[in-house]
Amino acid sequence: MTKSNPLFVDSTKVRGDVIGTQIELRDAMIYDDEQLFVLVTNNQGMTTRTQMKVLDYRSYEARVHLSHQTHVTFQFVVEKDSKILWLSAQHTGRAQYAIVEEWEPLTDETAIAAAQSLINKPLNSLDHKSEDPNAWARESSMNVRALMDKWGL
Amino acid sequence: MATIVSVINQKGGVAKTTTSLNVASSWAKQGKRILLIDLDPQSSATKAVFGDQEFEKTIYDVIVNQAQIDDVIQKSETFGFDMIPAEIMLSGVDMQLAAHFGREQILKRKLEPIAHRYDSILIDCSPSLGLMTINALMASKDIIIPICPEYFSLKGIELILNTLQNIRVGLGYKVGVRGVIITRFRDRRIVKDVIHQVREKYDLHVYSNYIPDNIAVEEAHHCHKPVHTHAPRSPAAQAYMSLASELWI
Repeated sequence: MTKSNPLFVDSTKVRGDVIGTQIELRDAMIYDDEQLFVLVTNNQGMTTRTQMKVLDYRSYEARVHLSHQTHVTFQFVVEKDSKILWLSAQHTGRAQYAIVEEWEPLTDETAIAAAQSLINKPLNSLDHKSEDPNAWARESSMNVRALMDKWGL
Repeated sequence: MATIVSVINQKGGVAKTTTSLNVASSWAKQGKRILLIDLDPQSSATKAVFGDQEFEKTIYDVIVNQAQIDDVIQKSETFGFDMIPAEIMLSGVDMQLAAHFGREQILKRKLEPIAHRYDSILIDCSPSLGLMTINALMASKDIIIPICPEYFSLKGIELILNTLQNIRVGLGYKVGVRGVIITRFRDRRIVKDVIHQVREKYDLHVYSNYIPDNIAVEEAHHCHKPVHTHAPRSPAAQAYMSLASELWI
């Protein structure tokens, strides 16, 4: 983990608060029929796979929600027809407001095979409207129902 | 609403204060409503404008919440702008605010109620990286970097760009670099090489009006006047007036 200067730590957030992190990859070039994804593993070991959008010439961006200042690992993947073509090294860092990396692909077949196994996991959509808005309420009501049953209310 | 711009270089002696004062005064002369904030504990800008005059309340009192911002604004008839003075107590403010919630955005919040009264607010930063410099950057839309064209100034630029990146990553705020001002310019080959490197290596805009190394600037400080009033025909006065127009666009 890199050194952390307290001057550059947001004093309005405590460690673990959810923040939106802008992930940027520079100096990457992909063809029209290829997609670029970022695999982010949070401090609880959960990996999300998010498609990156064009930011600028040879620059791509994605926005993910992470727990402030917690340890994360991330990796960039270029895919075509759900098959990994290129893969970056796994980077580590703290969850802050921006993560900026330069594209540097690996050619390690083992690493590519390991990352390929994550491909079938569902995409972490960039469009929040596509998420089920009732999921949280449904889950909460189930919890309440379970508690009421448990306590005989 | 005022555009807030910080004049910053973490390297000392590059004419930050001289540039802030003379650009602010030139803008004021052109009819703009300007507020200059001295955020340097050495208070060089304050002393250059008001001499040895003492102020009961300064920017320090605003930052530590012991004064309202309206109560510390001073008008300078000679320079034509409003100014918030500094004092040496600012040097200890980092320790005082170490555990303060939202400490990096105090200045930004304090400026919000008065920003509509000005066309531009210029902040003269201290040549160090501390909480007040972070506050200046968090309050600013852009920065201007004055440099003396020499090797160490290039290192200064690297430090600033690194600081801006840290602010973006750690505090989630993107500050723009408006451009680089060449001060104390002398027509030497090494000077031109440094300017070329600033353009090529850092991809930064370098303003075309270089400020020449001119004794009139120092004399103007001594007389507590802007250089365009003290020596209007001097090369430095003309350069600052042209630079002020170039900066405003």
